[in-house]
Amino acid sequence: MAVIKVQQVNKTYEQKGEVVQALTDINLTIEKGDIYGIIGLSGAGKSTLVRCLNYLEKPTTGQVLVDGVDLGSLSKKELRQKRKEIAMIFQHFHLLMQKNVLENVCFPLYLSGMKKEKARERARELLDMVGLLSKATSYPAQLSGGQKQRVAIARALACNPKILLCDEATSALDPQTTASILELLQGIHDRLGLTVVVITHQMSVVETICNKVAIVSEGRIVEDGMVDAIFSHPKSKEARELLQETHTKGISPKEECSIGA
Amino acid sequence: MEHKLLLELLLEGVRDTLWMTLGSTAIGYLFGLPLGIVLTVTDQNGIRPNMVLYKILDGIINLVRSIPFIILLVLLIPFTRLLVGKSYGTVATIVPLVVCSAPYIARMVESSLKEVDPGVIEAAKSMGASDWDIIFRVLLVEARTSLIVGATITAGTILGYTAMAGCVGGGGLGSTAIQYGYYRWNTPIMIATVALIVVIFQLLQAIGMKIAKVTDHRA
Ligand SMILES: Nc1ncnc2c1ncn2[C@@H]1O[C@H](COP(=O)(O)OP(=O)(O)OP(=O)(O)O)[C@@H](O)[C@H]1O
Ligand SMILES: [Mg+2]
Repeated sequence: MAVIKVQQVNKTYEQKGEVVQALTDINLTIEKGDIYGIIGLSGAGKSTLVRCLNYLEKPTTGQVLVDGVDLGSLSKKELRQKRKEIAMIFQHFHLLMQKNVLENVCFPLYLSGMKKEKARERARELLDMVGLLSKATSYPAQLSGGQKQRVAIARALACNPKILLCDEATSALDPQTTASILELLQGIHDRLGLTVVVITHQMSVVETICNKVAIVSEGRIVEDGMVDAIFSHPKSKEARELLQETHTKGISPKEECSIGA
Repeated sequence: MEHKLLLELLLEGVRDTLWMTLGSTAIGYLFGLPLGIVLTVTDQNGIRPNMVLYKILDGIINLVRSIPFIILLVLLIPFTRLLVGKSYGTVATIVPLVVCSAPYIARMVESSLKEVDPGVIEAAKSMGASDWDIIFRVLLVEARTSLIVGATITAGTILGYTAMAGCVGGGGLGSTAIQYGYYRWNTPIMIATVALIVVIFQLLQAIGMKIAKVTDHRA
């Protein structure tokens, strides 16, 4: 059964009387164990889409089913409970700056009512898993971007989620750090059998860890399927452009345009 | 004898001033802190927007804040008398000081809490945090430094107001300055009270800022 099923989702924002259509007729099926890439240019609607998957954003119309449960049918309390199964990491990490690394990882455990001693023990295990046990008493401000993301990953895994949503998790990192974070995510996926959704604007990220991908442009999915198939036979113009971009690194945007045209 | 009296007078003034300032700040926060939290939460970008409640509180706060303190002091005399039985003295002065500072504190708290990175709030939500969790485990924690700075500034402002309250029968160094310096032209006492107020102000600010700095982990 599909872990995540998105059916006919539309999302509109209203701002000072002006209506912005952020998502149009989105349909998406993500199976257990997928590492599903969602790729598109800035403003395409990727963040809006991923935030619909845990109902941080409520779709205007349509449904999001997680393990067959329609998130829209849940009460506030049930939704909060459900969110504990759907972890999320972010481009800018979003750690508590006034709490040390260990307490950051404890945060979701405290939310679940775990006692301090037990939570800290669990947090140490998780920090060990992401290779940051030695930084347990440091504060986020003292860490590099890659280390912060590792803390965020440890925090995300604290409550044994089934799904991990990553919104541009490597976009603020340099290529080497990106590679190490992707490797960590791949390892976690393999070991824990998680379903992972990876939002990105970089084809190289999709190429490295995803088995499936959906290409989003102007709020619509223009193409989706297996990564291998799309890489070898891109059907949409957007897919070809994104592929071109990855394989013409170092060329200025202007030249890139002319090649794409 | 003369000197002993003088010293006693000034020490009493210091004690009353500190007591009024810190007492009013503490009681002011008892009202202002929850009020500031409600303002933050019910704001249109808050975690539980409620335009009606926000507008009502916003209006009341602006109303009270727009009344000059010296007028509030007089206006509140019947209320103060009702509450503490008299309208003069140290305890009685705390009443108008609290009424005046609570809305000011609410604004300070609101602006501190609104500085918290919305991304961190969103991350907490994604982990299943309730509104209470977000208030107590995210907002108040992440805004701690700013809240302490705000409290320090507030205490400094209230210290100034206690001196004003001295004009209409409040205790403390302000009333000492008025009685001896203004009515009796006793310049040395006047200078001594001013010096003491300056010292208290500097101490309060230094201690507050030090605490804010030591408990800040952002750098
Ligand atoms: N809260 C909001 N109110 C109004 N419009 C919004 C809101 N959030 C997003 N939008 C609009 O929806 C569209 C999609 O935004 P979204 O953040 O999902 O894009 P994105 O693909 O994640 O872009 P990026 O790569 O820059 O993060 C944009 O046009 C944006 O302006
Ligand atoms: Mg985005």
